[in-house]
Amino acid sequence: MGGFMSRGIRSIMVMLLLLLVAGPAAAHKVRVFATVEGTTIQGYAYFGGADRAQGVKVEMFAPDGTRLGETLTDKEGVFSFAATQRVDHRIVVNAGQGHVAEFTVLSSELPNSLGAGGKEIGRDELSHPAPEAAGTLSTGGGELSAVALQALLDKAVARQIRPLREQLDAYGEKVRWHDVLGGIGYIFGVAGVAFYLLGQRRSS
Amino acid sequence: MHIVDGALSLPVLAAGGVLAAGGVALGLRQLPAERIPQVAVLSAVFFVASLVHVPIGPSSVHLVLNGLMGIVLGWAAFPALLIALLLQAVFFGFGGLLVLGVNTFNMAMPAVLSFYLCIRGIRGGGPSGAFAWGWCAGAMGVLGSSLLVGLSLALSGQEFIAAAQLVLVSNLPIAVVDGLLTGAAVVLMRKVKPELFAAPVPAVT
Repeated sequence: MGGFMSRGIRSIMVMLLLLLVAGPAAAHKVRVFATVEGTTIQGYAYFGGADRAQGVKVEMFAPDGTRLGETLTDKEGVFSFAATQRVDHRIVVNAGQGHVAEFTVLSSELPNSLGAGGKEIGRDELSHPAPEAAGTLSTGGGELSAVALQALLDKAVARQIRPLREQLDAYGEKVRWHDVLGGIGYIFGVAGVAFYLLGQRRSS
Repeated sequence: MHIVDGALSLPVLAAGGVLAAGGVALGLRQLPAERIPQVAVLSAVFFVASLVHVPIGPSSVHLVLNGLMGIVLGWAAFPALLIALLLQAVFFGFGGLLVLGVNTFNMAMPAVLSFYLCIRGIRGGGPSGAFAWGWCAGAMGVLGSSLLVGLSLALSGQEFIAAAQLVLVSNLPIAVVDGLLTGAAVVLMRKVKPELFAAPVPAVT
């Protein structure tokens, strides 16, 4: 009897300890993050916290709902997908157990060289994004077309801001102490309202 | 265990909403004023327990504790879980607002079942018997919920065997740990607050 009692207390102590150690960790929620490099959509699926989602199905959908293709994440939770159309890619990850996550790669992140909706786009549209840089630039020895320069710039900027975007994405997922305390406060507030309503019913 | 918005089909969502509403109504009707603080405290315990992640192998698990809620609260586990799940959805994006009914039912129904099946064993007998029945209640809560999650996914078009297997297997360690904690809590509560388990078992009406 005493053994059970102390075991009970001990396990509760262990739980409290775990609570302190673990802190408000992020949850079991699956998340997906993706960026564009060239014409390839690269990203990874992860569970809140740091665990990557391995071997889960990643599906791509166009805004009108048509399926653009699917791939699987590898051991690191990383997937890549070669985009063939310059449309918004809605990425849906299903990690099972009702854990589904979405992420949208905007068409503006994809290079102009991809046709919108499968159609090749004309010259006018190609030159559109960089009218001020029309013509060619002479650099050192060779010459670089405006389009090629634009593509290089896009790539460099995308690479530079990727860590920032990852950080922002992870930041939004963090469970914070004030949210936890706020939630507990709400629960007791609801209990208070219940008491109030009961009291009113009794006095009337 | 928390199903997110977009994973289930409309009929499943509607059925879950109706069942959960019925359970909540039943729970509130049988709830005397002096038990409201218990409901609130256990609701808060569940709310926090889902945030504490213990890494196991490549994944991590969190306690569910719906069995413990069931044996203390009975049908009142429905409103307690509804509020906790609502706040988890709003604050942390666990689950979602559309699937709130399904999630509430999936967690609360096994809790109520473990109440009816285990409460007599927990009340009578010695501490070791109470611990064993408490363990049963805790494990049953988790396993019952994972079965219902698998079922919800299956009814929405995912293959049942695969879905249920995955959910069951990944939740087995939680069921064991949840049971241990529930058993320990039962033994402790019987000692320091025996009146917690003294309420009459309500008829299922």
